[in-house]
Amino acid sequence: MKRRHFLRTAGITAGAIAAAPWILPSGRLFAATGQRLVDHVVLCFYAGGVRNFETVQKAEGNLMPGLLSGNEPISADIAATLAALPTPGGLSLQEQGTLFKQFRFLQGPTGHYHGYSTAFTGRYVNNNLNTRGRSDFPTLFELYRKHSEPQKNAINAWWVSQSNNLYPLLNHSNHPDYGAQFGANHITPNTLFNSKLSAELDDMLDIDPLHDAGIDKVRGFLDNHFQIPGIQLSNGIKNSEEDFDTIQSFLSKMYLDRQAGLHNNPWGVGMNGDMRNVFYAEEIIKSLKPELLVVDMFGVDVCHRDFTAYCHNVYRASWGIHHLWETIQATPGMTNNTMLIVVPEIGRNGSGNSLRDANNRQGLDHTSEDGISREIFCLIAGPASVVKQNQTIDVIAGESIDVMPTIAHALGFYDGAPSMFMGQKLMQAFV
Amino acid sequence: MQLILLFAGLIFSCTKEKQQVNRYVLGDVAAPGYFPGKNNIKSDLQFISIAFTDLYGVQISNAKLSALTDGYNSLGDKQIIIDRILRNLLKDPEIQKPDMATMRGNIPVFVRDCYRRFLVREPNENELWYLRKLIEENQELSPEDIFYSFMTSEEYKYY
Repeated sequence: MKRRHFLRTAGITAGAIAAAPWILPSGRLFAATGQRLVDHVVLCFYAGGVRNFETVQKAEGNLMPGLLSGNEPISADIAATLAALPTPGGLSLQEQGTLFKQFRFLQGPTGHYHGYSTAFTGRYVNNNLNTRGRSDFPTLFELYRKHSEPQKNAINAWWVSQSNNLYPLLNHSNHPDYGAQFGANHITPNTLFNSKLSAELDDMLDIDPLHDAGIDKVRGFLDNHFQIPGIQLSNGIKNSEEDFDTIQSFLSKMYLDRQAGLHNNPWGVGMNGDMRNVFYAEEIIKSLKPELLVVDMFGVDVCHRDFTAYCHNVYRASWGIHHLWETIQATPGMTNNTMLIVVPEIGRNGSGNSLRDANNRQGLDHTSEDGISREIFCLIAGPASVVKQNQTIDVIAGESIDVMPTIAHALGFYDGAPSMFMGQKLMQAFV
Repeated sequence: MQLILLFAGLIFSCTKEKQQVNRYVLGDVAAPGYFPGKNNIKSDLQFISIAFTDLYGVQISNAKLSALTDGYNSLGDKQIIIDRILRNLLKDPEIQKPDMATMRGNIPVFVRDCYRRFLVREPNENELWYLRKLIEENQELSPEDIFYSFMTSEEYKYY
């Protein structure tokens, strides 16, 4: 919007940096000691609550052929109604990384939002968690943006959520030293690009660039005359002016692609909501190459009432993640330079509820009293020079709060705020 | 005796009177911006429904409000989504706006109308003078451009 102003500011900043190269933009004299292992991390929440029985223990066969090695046949009743997808080619992600088969969500209620909050903040929560407000503790995004050297713009951090109910709150905390100024860009693409909203948002007034200066003057005048002492004029994260234009262009491209029918069935396999969310995450990756991206899936939660559909969605989510990995590897700059972490937020109960599906399978809830609902897995894939390949850790090791420090270690910002991490780095996964 | 009184009078008359000295210095005085009593940020519903009414002069339908609110909540950077929502509304030929000739024909009336319509207040003389001058000096600016400037201003986010 104010490109000229941005360029002028950028020029001054560049000049200052050239004149005093030892002073970093953050004001520090020396760079933090943390060294990056990769330049990109994608965290994929295999969320909605999945049980290790059906995933890494393969009780119904290998429902995750793109992720896990092995050809164990899928149970006949589950397979009978499964819309099979093309077999993922190449190596499984398990072969391209380290699998923690006995990961744990150790403490706190086994609710979805509790699981997300724990992973996003690296701290367990309890029943007092405010599901209508932001965390008091900084999120992964804020720590990344603030403690990276140099500090990172919001356009480098994305939270791609399935739902715009509650979950958008996870893009930054209320912590006084962090907060919105270090938050991530959040997007709920399945809503933003649906047919209803596309009709409302895909035809913007073109503002002639020659009018920009005049518009800026009018708005600048208005803003200079409106100041409320003590109140910060901000209601969320703000991108820089240049990044604002970049993101707006990205959104316009998405709407144009949608109009051209490119979103109808882009993978040619019939997509569910999980796969669509991953598809949009891939579009962000291809266009913006974020350094830190978090994307979630939620379809498996159908398991409360339909175990068979749950298994189908485990299968489809797995296929989507493999597709995501292929896109990452096909994206210049991210190829062999990205670590992917796949982890559920919580598990599911060991025993079924009273609801039965068409195959007479019992539904599964996720309650805190059932220890099985705390058993999850974690898969870390990455370049062979960084992540140990084809390694399976089949003892109890790692927990939800370890994900955040592990990402911090990979992206080199752990040393910027070591006291903020309650968990441990998952060093077993690294070369 | 007269001499004594005379000396006494001289002594007292020459005594320097104690004077109270008032010293005035210039302290720091903050020059506040205009504070029109708006310190509540509009909610997503309020922002969208008010913006719609400001442009169309009628209330937004529930279906449209629901759709746009979904959009508002689906992007973290509210500046970007507000920009997109407003520019989509501003492109609609159905919105109530003067044409270029009407605006340029009586700029003070147009400016005053913008303040009333979007900021729900009267402009002060400085605001009126300055914006009139700006619009006069920037001949390329259209009514949509001015509407867009007002609706993306900080004050427009508050009530």
